[in-house]
Amino acid sequence: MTMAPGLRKFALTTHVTSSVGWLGAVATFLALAVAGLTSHDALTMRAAYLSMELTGRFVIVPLCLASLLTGLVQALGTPWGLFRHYWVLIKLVMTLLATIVLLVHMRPIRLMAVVAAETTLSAGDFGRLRVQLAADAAAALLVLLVATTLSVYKPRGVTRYGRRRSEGRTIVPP
Amino acid sequence: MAALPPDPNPDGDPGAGPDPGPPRWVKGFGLVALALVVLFLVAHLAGGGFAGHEPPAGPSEHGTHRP
Repeated sequence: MTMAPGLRKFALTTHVTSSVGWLGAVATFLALAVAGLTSHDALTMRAAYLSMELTGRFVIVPLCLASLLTGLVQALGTPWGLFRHYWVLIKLVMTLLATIVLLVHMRPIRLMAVVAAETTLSAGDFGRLRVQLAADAAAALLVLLVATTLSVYKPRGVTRYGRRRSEGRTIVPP
Repeated sequence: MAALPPDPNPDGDPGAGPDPGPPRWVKGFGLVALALVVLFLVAHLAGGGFAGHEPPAGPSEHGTHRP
């Protein structure tokens, strides 16, 4: 099923907006995680972890799901398809993994926000968890940068399924 | 996904040779991705087996409760 050109442009706009928004929100999250990790000021730490939880819940998760959904619409509604080109397939796998990892990590993010709200944090508290949040945010940013690069460069390479589909379409009966 | 995909078989020849397999960039990408995933898992497991995903148990992990 191929979308009409107008609808395709609209779908592309929503996909680019949600994906780039997701990237920007994760960069913000990383900045807050580094601030929370390196600061020695209790108020700064509390503000960072409370902001991270809000950013994660109300910005990153919705944008992540929107990016995944609009990406599926884009792939299925255009001749690119979902499984025909390696770069589309790789982007799909990366986005699915990033979504799962994000949803799993919302729990420790919420935990850190609760701790920050109820206690006065000092530099050594929850050190491992705070390092993990910053490292995960950096990894997520790397994944999203790679996905963006794949979308822009669209490196060549058709999967076996894509070749079969293409051959089936071009067979002319004698 | 702005531009439409190039025709993978521009000659329209259904028997255009054997499957060449994944391109080189896909193989390189796969190797790097696999290494990073392993690194990610090792870092998590070395850090306490995903302990950060559970509520902290030890009092040393807690901050000072606000009055």
